[in-house]
Amino acid sequence: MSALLDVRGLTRRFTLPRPFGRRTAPRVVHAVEDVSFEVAAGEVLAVVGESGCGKTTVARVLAGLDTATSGTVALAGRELTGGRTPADQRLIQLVTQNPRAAFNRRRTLRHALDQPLRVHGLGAGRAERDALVAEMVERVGLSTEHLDRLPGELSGGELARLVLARALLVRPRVLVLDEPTASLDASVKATVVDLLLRLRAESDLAIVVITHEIDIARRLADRAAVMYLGRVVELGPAASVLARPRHPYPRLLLASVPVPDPERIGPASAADFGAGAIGEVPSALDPPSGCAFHPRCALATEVCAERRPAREVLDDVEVACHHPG
Amino acid sequence: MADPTAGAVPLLRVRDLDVTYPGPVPAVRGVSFDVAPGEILGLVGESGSGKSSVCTALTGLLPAGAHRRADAIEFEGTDLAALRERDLRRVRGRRLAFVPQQPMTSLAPTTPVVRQLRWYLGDRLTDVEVRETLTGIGLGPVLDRPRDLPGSFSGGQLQRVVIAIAALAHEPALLLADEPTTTLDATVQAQVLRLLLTLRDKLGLAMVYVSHDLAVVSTICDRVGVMYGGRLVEIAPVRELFAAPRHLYTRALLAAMPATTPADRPLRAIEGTAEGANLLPGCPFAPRCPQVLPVCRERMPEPTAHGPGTVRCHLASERVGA
Ligand SMILES: Nc1ncnc2c1ncn2[C@@H]1O[C@H](COP(=O)(O)OP(=O)(O)OP(=O)(O)O)[C@@H](O)[C@H]1O
Ligand SMILES: Nc1ncnc2c1ncn2[C@@H]1O[C@H](COP(=O)(O)OP(=O)(O)O)[C@@H](O)[C@H]1O
Ligand code: SF4
Ligand code: SF4
Ligand SMILES: [Mg+2]
Ligand SMILES: [Mg+2]
Repeated sequence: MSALLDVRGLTRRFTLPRPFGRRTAPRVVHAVEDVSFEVAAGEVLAVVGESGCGKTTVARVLAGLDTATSGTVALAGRELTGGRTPADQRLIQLVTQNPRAAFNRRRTLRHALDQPLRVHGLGAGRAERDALVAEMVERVGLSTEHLDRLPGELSGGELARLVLARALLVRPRVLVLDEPTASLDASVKATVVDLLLRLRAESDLAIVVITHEIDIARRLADRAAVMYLGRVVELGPAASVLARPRHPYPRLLLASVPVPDPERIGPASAADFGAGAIGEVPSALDPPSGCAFHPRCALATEVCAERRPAREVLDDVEVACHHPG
Repeated sequence: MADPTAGAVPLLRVRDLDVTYPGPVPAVRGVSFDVAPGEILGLVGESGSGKSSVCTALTGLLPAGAHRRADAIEFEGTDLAALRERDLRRVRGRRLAFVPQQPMTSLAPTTPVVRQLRWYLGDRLTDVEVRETLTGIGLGPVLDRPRDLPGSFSGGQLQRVVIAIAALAHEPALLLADEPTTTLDATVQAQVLRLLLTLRDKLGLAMVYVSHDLAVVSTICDRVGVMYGGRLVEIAPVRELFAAPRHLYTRALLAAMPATTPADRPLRAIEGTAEGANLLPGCPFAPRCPQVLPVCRERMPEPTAHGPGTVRCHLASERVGA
């Protein structure tokens, strides 16, 4: 039995315009390189990683908003191509990172939520569509009163829940969430997390959650993938990857997560964040040779700069590292 | 415990600030607070409670139709409320810098990012200094793409560009940062926090730091204000606030923190919604408060001092009075 969502060797490169009048080779951003993972129905995969490591690009390709340079996205054994039919478009829904950009500024939210139902021919007639919208809006903890407002008249947290409602309305098989809780307060965050956990239990959705909130990923995910500079460096059960990672990058990442420290005496200082060689985030334009993490890695040896480590199985996780911990 | 900021003349003094959007939505009601030089004031609270509106009101950048009223908005001794837009613009950007919640909107979409950086930073910093600072917050790769427009960088990269411009373009005395690291992962967030704290150490930069990340707030802020339904319901030094929250909303908010809830227990969301809280005559939290008193629905509690903090809660006042 294969997984519901099957991603194989996904690669997306962006070719940049050449500087004027120079005969140099075109420069290429390696946004996503050879990313593979599976997500079963009813399962949540968390994708974590540094800003700019390609998470949003993966999400856009999954949702058919961008076309992969190579690699495949298959749903229930059937390959979905870049240019999707509306019917295929409905199957993988993306909830984008910036809820404010997701809505037309001049149309009410009622219109914004009604539109996808009409496009996909769901709900017979206006009254039934209205009922579906009302039910969904309440499911995400808002009231129908919000629907008569314009996007600019709602707070970030309110909008974040409405984008989620809009995606769920068309009954997708896969839900891809790009930073779904980043702009929410702790209580609303809890509502969204509980909502997503309930969805997972109630439906056969496969959910991909992109987040940099490790706390949230731990709560939501069955499995987790860690990306670094376009590649998956560790993949496995969330309980392993997000607690005792084997790859040095996720180890650094977990060590950088601030822990509440109300016992601190006196003002905070820059030195409090000096822990470890954090180092420069490398450029996706010119990824370092061998293992892309080697310029920042405390465990790096000669081989790390020379050869890219392959992904290998280590106990219950897959790790791409020459010297896993 | 010695409070390094106690007794200092405030850098920013806000008294009884109201912000109303057409509708009318009273987004901010009677908010008063001070920021001392070099102090980092955290602002936390419910989504929609008015944190961003406070920041935009202080910078005079409210959208058309929105209305601001205050008894005082004094910044470095000048009353900002009385300034004309032209004079306010001079203060804003030089002494008062702002990182808005949607940073993309503050970069010009059709001008290369690197050119915009040079434009803002070029007067004060040499190319070498610009590169050093940007490399320190992981932006070296941006400098290597001099012709690229904002659209081809990631959200996190643009967010740091906007922070760098706001913090470095002039020598601001106060930085209003609205969720500046929300889109950043932990390692990059640590770099940005380190940059901001270095500026505080070196230049005495003060900050109003809006965030939903209570772990970050507890790590970098000196004092924390908590907002709900347009009201500032509690403000206290960070240790007191986390150790002994007094307002019932503050307590519920801290209890919902993922970091304080064991992983096998569901997060404790607060029952009900904040819907309509801005319009209530009494305590905005009354409809959801587990210990609501009859008086709470009628009258907004007055600010009461509790040790080094100030709270607006009938129950907290009663506990002290009894
Ligand atoms: N249209 C584009 N043209 C050129 N480069 C791009 C484009 N879109 C993204 N990139 C680059 O691809 C890389 C990955 O970007 P992406 O937005 O996917 O990152 P991310 O992990 O989502 O980051 P963040 O969490 O900061 O938003 C970055 O180096 C970015 O600058
Ligand atoms: N332009 C606007 N027009 C009408 N209402 C608005 C506008 N901007 C914000 N609001 C409302 O004002 C309240 C406070 O919003 P905001 O300051 O953005 O909150 P926060 O930043 O704490 O999430 C919310 O109820 C929101 O819906
Ligand atoms: S391969 Fe080498 S450089 Fe890369 S993470 Fe492993 S030890 Fe570090
Ligand atoms: S004032 Fe009343 S309703 Fe408001 S938090 Fe205090 S006890 Fe609860
Ligand atoms: Mg992203
Ligand atoms: Mg806001």
